[in-house]
Amino acid sequence: MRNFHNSPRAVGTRIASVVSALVLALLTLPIGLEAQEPELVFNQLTVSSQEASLTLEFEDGSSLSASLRDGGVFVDGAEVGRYTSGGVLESSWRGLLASAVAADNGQVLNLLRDWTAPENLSADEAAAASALSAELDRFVRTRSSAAEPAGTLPAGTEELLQEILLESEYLKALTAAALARPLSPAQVIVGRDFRIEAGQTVDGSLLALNSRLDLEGTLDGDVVLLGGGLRIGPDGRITGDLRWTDAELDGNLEAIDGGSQEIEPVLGLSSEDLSERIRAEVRSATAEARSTVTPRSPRSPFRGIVRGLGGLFQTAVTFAILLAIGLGVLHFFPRELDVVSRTAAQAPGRSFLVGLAGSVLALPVWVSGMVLLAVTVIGLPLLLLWIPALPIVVVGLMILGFVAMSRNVGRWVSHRNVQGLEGMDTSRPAMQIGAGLLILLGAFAIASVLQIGGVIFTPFVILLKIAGYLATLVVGCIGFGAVLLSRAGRDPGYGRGDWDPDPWAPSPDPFAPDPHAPGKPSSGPAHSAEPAHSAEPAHSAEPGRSEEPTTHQDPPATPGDEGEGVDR
Amino acid sequence: MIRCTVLALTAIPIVLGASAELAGQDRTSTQFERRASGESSVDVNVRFGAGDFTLGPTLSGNHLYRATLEYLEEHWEPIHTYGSGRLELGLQSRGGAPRSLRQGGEASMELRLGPSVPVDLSLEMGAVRASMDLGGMALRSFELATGASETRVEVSRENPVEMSELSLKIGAASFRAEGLGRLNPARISVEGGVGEVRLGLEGLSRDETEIAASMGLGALEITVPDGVGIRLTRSGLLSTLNAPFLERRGSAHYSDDWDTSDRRVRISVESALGSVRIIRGDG
Repeated sequence: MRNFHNSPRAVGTRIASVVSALVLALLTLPIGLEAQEPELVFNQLTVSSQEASLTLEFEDGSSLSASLRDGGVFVDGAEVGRYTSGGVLESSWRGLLASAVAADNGQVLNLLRDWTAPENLSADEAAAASALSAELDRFVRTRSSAAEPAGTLPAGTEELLQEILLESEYLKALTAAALARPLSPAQVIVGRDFRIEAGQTVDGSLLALNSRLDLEGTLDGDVVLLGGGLRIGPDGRITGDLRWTDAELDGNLEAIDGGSQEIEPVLGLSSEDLSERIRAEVRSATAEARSTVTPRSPRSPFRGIVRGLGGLFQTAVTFAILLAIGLGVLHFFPRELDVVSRTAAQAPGRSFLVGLAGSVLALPVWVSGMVLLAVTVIGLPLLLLWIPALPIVVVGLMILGFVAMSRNVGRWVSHRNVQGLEGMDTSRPAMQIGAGLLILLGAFAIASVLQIGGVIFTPFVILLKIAGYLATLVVGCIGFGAVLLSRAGRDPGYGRGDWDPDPWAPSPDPFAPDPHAPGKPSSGPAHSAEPAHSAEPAHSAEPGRSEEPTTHQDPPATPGDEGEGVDR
Repeated sequence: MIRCTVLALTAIPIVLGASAELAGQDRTSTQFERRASGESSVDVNVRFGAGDFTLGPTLSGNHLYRATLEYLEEHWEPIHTYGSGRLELGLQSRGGAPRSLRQGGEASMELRLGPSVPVDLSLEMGAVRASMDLGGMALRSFELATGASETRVEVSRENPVEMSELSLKIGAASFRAEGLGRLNPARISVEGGVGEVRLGLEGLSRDETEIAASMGLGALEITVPDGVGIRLTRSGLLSTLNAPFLERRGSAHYSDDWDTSDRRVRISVESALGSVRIIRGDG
């Protein structure tokens, strides 16, 4: 059993003394004083247009994060108040952190210590600033290394002081309790059990922190209980009142004459909030060093190599697909491919304009067709066919035109002594298509190779890609136009001119009238013959191409075949 | 006094600059600072895609590192993880979009390392203008990989620990280093792509130092202090060697003090197309 003796001082004075001591302790903690700056292990400061935040981690595992963002003041992730964007509080806080970023090593704590909340704040901002200051008090200012002499603390309050400093919420609760109304003369109990035996009476109030009170007898006074617990036995009694926070109450609570009141901390935190805050702080103290930055897989600065290789692969795949399509067209529609090629060669300007117009008009035609089919009852079933069919047909015709143009480019190459292609039999249509595709896609391939070389080649990569896209656009338009002009290779009207005067190739017109046929005048130089199934005119200006067929059968004459083979 | 004045005058524009940036609200400043707390050594890995990079020693001896990053938040995000003796730092592109050189110029990073904890430092950089002072920190190993960069390295003070390897992998770059001998490296390896590489071995104190250089297309220049014996071997049909003071003996070239010097450098160079120049220097 422990007996208490009344203090001659008023409890209000006592509380005031404790609080005053705390204020002094903010500057001089008399226990284990040492240079506190080294206790700060890590700090992170971030200042941007969106936020101004700091994270502090201390040697004992405790940490503090404070941030102003999106109009809210956050401490350890919880919003403790609001601020006005661009207002005094934000400017002051940002200025503090900016100075800390610019300061030399180890100056962060000093700057934080010196910071004071600005005056003339609105009520909301004042509350937020108070919360910030309280947290800085708790984490920074209490760790000051200032070597001023310690103030004289009220006897017996050292332990209380330590505990209060470690649990700043208690300080707030204590302040609230002190401001509520004065206690009668009190004894202070910190972190230990206290019991009044049955039949005994203790005069004077109790201020208990993290202690367990077991009252079987009578306490003639008030009780302030911060943490811990209180049990009142069947014969126990408190003549005054009970103010408590974050404590467990049990037993005969009816025997409190003055009633009980839960203390709301100054910041208005409920006991649940307070408990959660304490738990969160404990968790944060034992957690790994945290960073507000989410680690991600870093990006390699050599990604240009990967991108370049990817571009090469993409170009190779495109080449393979177009080549496969070209060979398929060559195999199944050799005559149509030849007519389209010749049309593009003989009338490139007209083909380009027609192709450009066709490309531009394709979408309106598609949409108009959908509208027309949709508004007519008969057209409704066709609408389902129209929607996918036209894009497929247009794309197919574009590819046909592109392949035909590739062949033309290949033919052009075959009549140039291009270095590196000597070993290739470029008189063969398949080889021509392949060579043409290589040239047309070459810009993209070279761009990819340069991309591997690094960022320094970026301008060349961009230029090459632009050139490649422009070439593709022009070639695509000419090819598509040639397809349209020749009605997908069925009308050789624009392609009946002679190949030979054209630099492309000295191949004869496979559709020209047979000069040897009776009554058929020759329209050009002596044409060699080409079988109807061959896409390649038989005549070659280059020697050593004896594998070329030397005879052909003229296709049947169709109306309009007699048209001029020039770009009209 | 003069130093304090200089520091103060230097600090004023820094603070004003930071304030101006804050007022402009177009850049984000992030700083990471950690005190040494009993680490025996630390692996430091830095990745920095594009921009200005500065490396130097901390002003305070008990600091482990301090990194200050400035960047456009919409384009970049900082990397920072620390644990188990390993530090990851840097800036990475946000959202996977490739960054242009212009955007790269909008980022900067200043890293300072303390002298109290031995560090294995690895820098991986893209298009970067880098300025480094490797003096005043304890470097156990140093690895630098750059893309298209302009890098200047100096070593202002002796490395207090022995460096096992100094590795330089340089892409399309201009690289100049002075005072590498003060790093006390046992081996220096250089892989150069396209560009100019200049290595200065001032401050060399080791008995034996090995340099292995593999150059693609470009120029390699190595400055070896007077009094240090040189043995050079090279391969590469289209490369030229400019080292008139070296004498060929068998398959290698030797300086005349090779047999008598107490400090020696063995240099082997593979160069596809370019020039190799060995010159003598002070220190």
